Amino acid sequence: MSEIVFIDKFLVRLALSVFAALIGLIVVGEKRADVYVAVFILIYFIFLALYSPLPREVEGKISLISKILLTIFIIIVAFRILEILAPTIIASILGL
Amino acid sequence: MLIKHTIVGLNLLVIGVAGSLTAFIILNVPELAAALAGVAMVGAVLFVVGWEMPEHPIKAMREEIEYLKENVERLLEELGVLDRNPIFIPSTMSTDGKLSIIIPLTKNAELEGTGRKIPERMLVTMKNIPCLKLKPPCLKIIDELGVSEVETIGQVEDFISKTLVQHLNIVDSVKVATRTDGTIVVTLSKIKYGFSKYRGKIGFIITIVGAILAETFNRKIEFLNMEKKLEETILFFK
Repeated sequence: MSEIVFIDKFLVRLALSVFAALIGLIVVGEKRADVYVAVFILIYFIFLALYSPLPREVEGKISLISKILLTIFIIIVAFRILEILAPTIIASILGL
Repeated sequence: MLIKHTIVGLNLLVIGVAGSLTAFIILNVPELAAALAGVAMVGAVLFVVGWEMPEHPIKAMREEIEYLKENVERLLEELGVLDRNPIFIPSTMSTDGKLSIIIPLTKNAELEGTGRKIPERMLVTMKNIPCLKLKPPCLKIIDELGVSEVETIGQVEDFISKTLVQHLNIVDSVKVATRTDGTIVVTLSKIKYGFSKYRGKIGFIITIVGAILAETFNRKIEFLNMEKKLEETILFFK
């Protein structure tokens, strides 16, 4: 019983935080979609750390989602770094 | 599987992925694409949780807990040990190698007179005193956490906190301290869901804390008494 209450709290707070971040970024006039996604992923990992350990039943599949999100985050950050260090490579990747 | 979680999660995931791609590629509105990407992320987590979590018949579990609690309390009351201080024996000192709770029955001689007998598996004799032997709760969690003898009081607090706060989520926080006379003081703040509503001294939380203390200190631990201060419950052990 308490496990379901615990996981529901995690889900509700994650959703509320993502929503709050979205509103905040819209308010500051952010136009880059990758910034939004990166912030959402950071929020996800913060909540995952705060609510760790999750019930054993969901740990395996949640770690799969974590790996996917981490990969997306790494790609976003790598693109941003490349944009500064080697903008020509970015242009060639994006076909510009 | 939690059906509602799974269905809502799957819907959010599909709407989120399809919507964010449409918003980004066709409509070219990054804010909407990002919002729907967030929806997809939350939906994916919801879907996984719903898919993997076993469904618990909550009302049935509550009824079962009430039924067991009431009957155990009645049995202990009938034996006259409801207010007797329980003693927690660590697994290293127990004959069967398992954590156990011992309640002395010295004042229950009348039981023999009336011909009533306690089953042998519930009785042990310590220093010629018959004692009631009970199994503490949450042995699986205690085993999972690898609770064993530790050196510092901080590690003891960590084990109790992991069990009551993180795994069971029935207490907000835990503090453990020792006094110079050897008394161990465990302070629990905000016990949730009425888990403190036990009659006598062999309540659910007391037995978990006592069992962990016995295992971590690797010696017999006796529960002394309990005090309540606003939202805090203070347990004294020796």
